[in-house]
Amino acid sequence: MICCFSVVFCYNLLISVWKPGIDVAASQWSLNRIKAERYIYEPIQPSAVIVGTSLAMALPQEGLGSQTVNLSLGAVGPLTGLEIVRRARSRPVVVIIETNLFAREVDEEFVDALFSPGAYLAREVFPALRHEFQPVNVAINFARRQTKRSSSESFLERPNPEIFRRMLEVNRGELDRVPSASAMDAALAKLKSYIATLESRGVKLIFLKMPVHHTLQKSYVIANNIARLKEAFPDSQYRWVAFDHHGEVFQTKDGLHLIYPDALIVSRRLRSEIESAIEK
Amino acid sequence: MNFNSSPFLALATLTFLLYYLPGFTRYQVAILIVASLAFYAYGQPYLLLLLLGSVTINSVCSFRVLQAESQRRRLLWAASGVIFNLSILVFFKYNRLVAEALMVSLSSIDGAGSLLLALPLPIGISFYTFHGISLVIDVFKRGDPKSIGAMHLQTSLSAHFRQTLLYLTFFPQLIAGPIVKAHFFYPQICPKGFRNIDWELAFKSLITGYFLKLVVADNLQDQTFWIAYPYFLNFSSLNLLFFLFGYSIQIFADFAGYSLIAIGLAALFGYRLPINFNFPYVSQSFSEFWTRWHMSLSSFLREYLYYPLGGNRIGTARTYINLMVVMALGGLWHGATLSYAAWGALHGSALVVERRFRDSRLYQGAGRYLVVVRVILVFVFVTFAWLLFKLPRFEEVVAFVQAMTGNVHQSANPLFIFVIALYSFPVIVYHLLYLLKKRHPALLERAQPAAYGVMLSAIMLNSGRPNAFIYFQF
Repeated sequence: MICCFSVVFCYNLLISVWKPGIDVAASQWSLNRIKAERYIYEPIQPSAVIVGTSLAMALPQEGLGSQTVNLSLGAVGPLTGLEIVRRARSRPVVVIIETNLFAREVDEEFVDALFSPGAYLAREVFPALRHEFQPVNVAINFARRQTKRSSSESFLERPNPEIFRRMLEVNRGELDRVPSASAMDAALAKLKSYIATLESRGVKLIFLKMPVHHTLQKSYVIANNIARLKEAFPDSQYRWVAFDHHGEVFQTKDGLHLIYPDALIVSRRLRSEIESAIEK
Repeated sequence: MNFNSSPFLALATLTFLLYYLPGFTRYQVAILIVASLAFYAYGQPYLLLLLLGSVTINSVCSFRVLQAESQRRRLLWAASGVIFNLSILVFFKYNRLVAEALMVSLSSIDGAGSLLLALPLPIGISFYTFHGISLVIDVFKRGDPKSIGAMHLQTSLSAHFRQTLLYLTFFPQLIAGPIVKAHFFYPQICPKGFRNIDWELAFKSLITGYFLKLVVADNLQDQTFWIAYPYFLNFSSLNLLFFLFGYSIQIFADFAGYSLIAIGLAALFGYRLPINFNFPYVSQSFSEFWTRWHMSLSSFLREYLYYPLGGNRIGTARTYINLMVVMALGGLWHGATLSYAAWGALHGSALVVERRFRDSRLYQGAGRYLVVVRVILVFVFVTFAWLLFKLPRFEEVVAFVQAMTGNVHQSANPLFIFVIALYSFPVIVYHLLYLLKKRHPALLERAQPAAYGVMLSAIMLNSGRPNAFIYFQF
């Protein structure tokens, strides 16, 4: 036990002094956890925060600027991000909500693990206990500087046509599956309650429609999501942002996730929209 | 209820405190039973009915075997017990497989039948039905010194029922083993003292178990996630090889970790459970592998199926058949799809082929080079066989192998390789230390406290996303 606490204490000291830069995570879940913990524990208050799925997660920070935090989480949805925003101390001026795949349930286990009182306090006092500073993540980032790859998803940067075609087909199959009406209603009700909470705090909202492959735009899930949201939060009352309505085509890795250059273009345009919303 | 959840820690702590309270010694069995039922009922209380039903029927059958006056009636009751256990296992676990084999559409079944078929697989059923089988058979073997006297069986049905209730529901082993034979467990049912706790066994097992599960298996799970159709199609051959290697390490860490936690927990309450894993990846042959991997299942199948079928006593051809039958059924025990049976049959084939060549130089040679070749051969075969576990559909297994051989020119992502290598390293060291222990016992003994301290630190600093144990699904 003495050895254990000595190791933890010394490691915490090392992390506090060294402050290793962590850009890459061991896995998607690990990355989600790091982003969420940074949002919760970082002293700097961002002006804007984006909540969404892996679609919006592709928007690079260099295009968004330093005042916007991208809290989009892979394999979960914007409702999880909104729950984190609701519980965290940080008070953003603008919240951008990705709308394409909004109906994924809140990952209660993920959020509860972040905010469970004892662990929350322990991580605040001992940064070494945060996921970001797990020894393996520190080791990965230390070694990463020797490699050319920058993220765990970089392998998808330039898929060959056959892989793209296959993944597009898979995604089309998934997105044409009709979800349960009750799940959809529950997700919409949940979103409405989050919107009400944010509005009561004076937060401005932007509904973001991420560009995807044209065949997936018309898929049941995405088309239905957008339609339901536009009905609940109409253009006349809420700010909606889309970047492909003039027929502009953005390239994706698999029909859903933008390739880096196009994601950079979208993020820069989104930044202008955010700045405009903050000024108003 | 997972062993790594807060409700479980609360339950275990409360049970431990009550168990050793002065004056509560005579209630120890009852305390364990209540805790075990609470553990099982958490989340799915309706499944308690099946478990309690199983306990009741196994108690009655085994008690009737004890009380029966003729060998014929003893055989009848023992057979009834075995048939009952196999029936509920087949019904709940293999209903779809049986329906497919009989070409019956499950949607054509209505009423109570459809309601029963719609029930999810009762958690732990594979384990407590096997415990029930062990009980009735062990009691039946009257002439065997392991039974009755040594088993400390009770003479009243109510007392026997209480013992059986503990045996079948004992929470450390209930969900995912180890499979404990009745003649091993029953003699241990007696009052336990706080001073008699084997603290060293408990803590070493718990620390190692939680380390393997929380640090190794849970973190590797996020890497081997990519062994899923169609995601694996995009990866290079080298990445796919590492994913498969990582899965081999993950499944060991997950299951061995669980078994060690079960052993450690049982030790805290004064019970010894058998070792379930004995450094299986140092095996030099397939027969040796099966004496080191999931030892409790191998032992069960050997004693209750292989030997009764004749073992290796009825000639070579019959030995091969017995091996194939036992291994295929062992595979099927893991899951209700043909891919699991195929996995078992694959291992059966390996055992059969090995028997043919066991006098060859490859198997008999004692040189270091040959030892390494044998260990690698066994490990590679076992690792590839795990594909049938991970990908339940044959076409996906074929697609994976095709991607592995076809994506040679695709560039590998070193991040995945690095992460898998990092998390696999402790398991490799774990196996190497086992080999080094024979040569440098004193050195390793001195390094133990530091090693356990580092493992405990790693649990605090580097645990992965909480995941259910892989063997909970069986």
